[in-house]
Amino acid sequence: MNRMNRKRRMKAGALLAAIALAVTACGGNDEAAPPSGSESGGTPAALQLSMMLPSYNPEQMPADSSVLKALEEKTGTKLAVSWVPSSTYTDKLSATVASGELPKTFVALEPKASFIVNAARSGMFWEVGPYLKNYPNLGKMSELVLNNISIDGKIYGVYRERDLARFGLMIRQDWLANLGLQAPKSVDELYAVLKAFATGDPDKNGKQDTIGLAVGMQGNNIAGFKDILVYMGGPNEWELKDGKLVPAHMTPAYLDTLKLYKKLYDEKIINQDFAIVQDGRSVMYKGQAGLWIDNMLDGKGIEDNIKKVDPNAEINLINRIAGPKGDRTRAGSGYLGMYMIPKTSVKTEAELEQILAYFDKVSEKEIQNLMKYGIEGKQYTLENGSYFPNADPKIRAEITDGNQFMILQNQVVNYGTELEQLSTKLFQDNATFAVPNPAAPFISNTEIEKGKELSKIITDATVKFIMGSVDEAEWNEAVEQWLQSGGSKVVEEMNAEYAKLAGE
Amino acid sequence: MPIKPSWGSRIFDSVNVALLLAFALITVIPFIYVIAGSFATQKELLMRGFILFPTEFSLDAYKYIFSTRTLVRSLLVTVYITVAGTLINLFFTCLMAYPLARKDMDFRKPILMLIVFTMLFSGGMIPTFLVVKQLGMIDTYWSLLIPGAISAFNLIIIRNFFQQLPDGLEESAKIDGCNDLGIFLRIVLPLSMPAIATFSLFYAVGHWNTFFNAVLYINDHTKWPIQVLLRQIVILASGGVGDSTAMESDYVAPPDQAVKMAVIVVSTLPILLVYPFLQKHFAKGVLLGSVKG
Amino acid sequence: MPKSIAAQAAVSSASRPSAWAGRLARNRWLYLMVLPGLLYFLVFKYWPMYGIFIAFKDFQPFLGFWDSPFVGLKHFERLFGDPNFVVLFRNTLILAAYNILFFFPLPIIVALMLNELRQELTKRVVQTLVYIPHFMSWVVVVGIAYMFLTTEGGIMNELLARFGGEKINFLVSNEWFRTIVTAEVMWKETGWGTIIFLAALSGVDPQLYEAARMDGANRLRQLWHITLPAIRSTIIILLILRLGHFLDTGFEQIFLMLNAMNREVGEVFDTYVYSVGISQGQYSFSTAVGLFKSIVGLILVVVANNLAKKFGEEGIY
Repeated sequence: MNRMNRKRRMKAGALLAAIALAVTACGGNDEAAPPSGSESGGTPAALQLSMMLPSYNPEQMPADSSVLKALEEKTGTKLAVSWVPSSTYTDKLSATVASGELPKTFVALEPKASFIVNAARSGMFWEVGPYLKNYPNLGKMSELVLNNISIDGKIYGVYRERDLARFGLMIRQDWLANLGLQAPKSVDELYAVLKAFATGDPDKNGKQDTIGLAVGMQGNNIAGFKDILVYMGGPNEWELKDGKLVPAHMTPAYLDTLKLYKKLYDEKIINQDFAIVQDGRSVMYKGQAGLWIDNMLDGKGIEDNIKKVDPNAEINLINRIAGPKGDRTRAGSGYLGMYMIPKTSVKTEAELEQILAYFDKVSEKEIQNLMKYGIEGKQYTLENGSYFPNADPKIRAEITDGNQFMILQNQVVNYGTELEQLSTKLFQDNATFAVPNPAAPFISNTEIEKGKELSKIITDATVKFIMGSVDEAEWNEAVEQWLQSGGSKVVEEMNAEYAKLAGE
Repeated sequence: MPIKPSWGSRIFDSVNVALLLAFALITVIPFIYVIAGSFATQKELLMRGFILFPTEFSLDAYKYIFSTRTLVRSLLVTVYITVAGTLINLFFTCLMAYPLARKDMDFRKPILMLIVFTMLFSGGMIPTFLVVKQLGMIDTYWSLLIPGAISAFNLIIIRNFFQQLPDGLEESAKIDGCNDLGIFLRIVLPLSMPAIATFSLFYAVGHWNTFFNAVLYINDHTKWPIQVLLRQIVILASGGVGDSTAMESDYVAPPDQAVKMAVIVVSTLPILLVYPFLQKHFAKGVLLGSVKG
Repeated sequence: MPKSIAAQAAVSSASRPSAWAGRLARNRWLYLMVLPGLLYFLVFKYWPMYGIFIAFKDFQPFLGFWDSPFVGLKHFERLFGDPNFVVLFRNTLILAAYNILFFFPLPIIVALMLNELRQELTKRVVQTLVYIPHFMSWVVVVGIAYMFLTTEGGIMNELLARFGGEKINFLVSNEWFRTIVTAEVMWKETGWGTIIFLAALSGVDPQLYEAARMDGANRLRQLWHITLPAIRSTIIILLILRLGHFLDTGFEQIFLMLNAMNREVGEVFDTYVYSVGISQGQYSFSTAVGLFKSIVGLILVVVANNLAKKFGEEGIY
């Protein structure tokens, strides 16, 4: 309009430019490096691999960690790791996925989360399935687990191996001894032992201050419930009956388990505040409970913690509890998260192959142990075959979260305590009779969209039944509500998936 | 010299003091518990639950947290963000609030509406992330300082404070040959110290609590502020590993309760100490008293 | 210089623009001062605003904001069609009403009480103590509340038992949920909330009290006629701003307090969106719910602001 305005505009422009300049001048120097994989094939330059991993510790592995250096050397890779606190990992990951600003590889802790499934279906990630057989270690990955991680039958990542069936009982051995009891072998004996723990003063302090089973709401699952359900002859999440998949909570065994928990609750054998306990292990730590059912790896940690309160405490592991269908235990998924490779950051097949080669190398025995224990003579020493970790916190920090790098874990040397050695043995035993979830490989669209709402209906009703605020008729109403809110669609979709597979 | 207070007035005073002291006690007891807990042993915390004084005194928690590289480093990061961020906030906020408080300013209402609108509607986390990314701020401290440079909430209240200044000020200053910037810097700001003190506190506390943006915008963990560490320890200590969606999980040894409390103490005390220093600016009558004087 | 511009403008166009140009020139410093802030709001608040449109799309990260398929009102239909919608809306409204009725006035009352304290030292000490809880995260606050209220050796229930009462399962009850949530907010945020009123009160001219005392006004009358009017506009502005976030109930606290036994009264929009939308990466649905909340807030703010203006207040715009 006139000079006045133009001048203002120029001023504004100048200011904007100044701000932009100031900002870029301070910009990070480690901008994503240009894709380094050579398109011509030939001998590729050293792989530059950026990755995002969850950290389960207050402190993160320093970038100059000697362990990280050793890993880089042995794999011929330059690593740029960005750690994210486990408590925020999912938030950060979904923001990063949504913004398309992904590193070359990252760990998806829950590969069946809807944002991962949607992204995979829209073609965001490399399908690595066909490549795996070209690598000596990755080629040996378990078919069963690969099936579990698949999305629409395709494999979009490299899973991080865990033992298939890790669940079992962690019991206070000293309490059993105090009461002169044997370790339980069946569901009935288990009930009797729990009852004795709650009423027989197993800690010999003359007070009625103990309970049998510690229960908490582990990530919205009632601790031990799924395991006892399987002991009682129930299914692992889904039951295959007459060629049809039926959800666990619609089986008779589920109702039996419900009633057993209610009985335990009414007789004060489980902690009365279980519905608000986030982590049931805390009840064990206080030395107030005699049994914990979950991943048997917890055993050592629980024992260490109880010993701070009661130095005589001793934990034992039990993996076989017989029910109406004999010895059964729940199979897990066999993995803990998987590494995925986005096409937005890894553009060429050559680079993809380089990254897979890195994962293959990481699965070699030497590197498996490096990432588990660190460097011998630094993070630990061996004397006559016994393992002594270095106590210096600075040196320990160099191996922090090292296991997040691991892919296969089958050749890790077990330097653990007796309890840890035992858990490894029991994991192997478990694998021989574990009940798998027959629906694990299938994806129901309704479930990924509404799964959380739906499972809340069942969990809430389960808790209410145990605490006596709903009766059997109302429990059935809740199941009906589940069906109507989308559950029947989930059942339908799961069965359609199953039929597709069975038809092939 | 002062008139002798009446009986009613005295009763009023004693009831008032009693109520306030009771309220102060209720608010401070949990903090005492946290401090006591940071010096207690795991056994005592687990067995006794709520304690106000540890029977067995232990410095282990503090020894542990100061042995990590993380604590001091992230505390320094937080102090830096807080100081730099608050200065930036005050500069931008006051500078914008003053013209909007002036009745003779054009477009005042549309600009204010524009600002209020941003309090109600936002583009969300991801588009904001993309803007920050496009400006090249990712992995720099700028990403924690600039995107929150002005809080619309604070801006509106500061404007309200400026509005309550007596009208005559500007006129007299203009006669003295001041331009608007001069009036703002030489008259309005010095008279608004209580407001400035209040909002430095608000902004400082906001920066002190920076957590999510840091994790979102900064990949280099050596640049994380203290709240990231605090949160991680608090969550680990309450047994959550954070990702309850995963079917499988590994055992993560929880830090002792005392460690959690020691980190709370170390990360809270510095910012708690800011307020007593600012309080002198709240003395009664600073504002108008000085105008008349 | 300004004069010459104004003169030139006057030559080139009619008299109205010239008046404008004159004002522009006269207020040039004011414009310059507004500019950086305006730029800030445009860049960091309005530029990302396009994100709102994903409420009408099925946002797919890989496709991006523009190429994700348009689905119209699908997400709103899902929200309003959800059989739980009425319950969610009711729970959110009641909790918000509790907050405004019981929490909002509290900082004002405490600020007024603090203002009446004669001893400067007591005043400062009390002020400092009451604002401490603001710095404790909800995880810690809720943890402490659990410790007080649990039936397994919680202090409240021990006291009840000692006086012969029945134990009350506060934490797993529909009846107590809202009371406890509101009480926690009162405990945590009251002291912090007083700060702003104390700042406003510092502007009151002590001579006014002097004069009132001369006229024989007692303490209550002074409070009513001098102190309260001094913070009235601050109260009104805070209330209007609070209404803009009426449906925000604070996610973290509620989420931590929720369990199977109180979900009927405790599930609110924020927790629902978290478990249904955010934690499953359903951005479009989450955005749609957010947009609904914002529109409710906008309506409330506009109504409240007009009302305030009718009563002769400045309002927020």
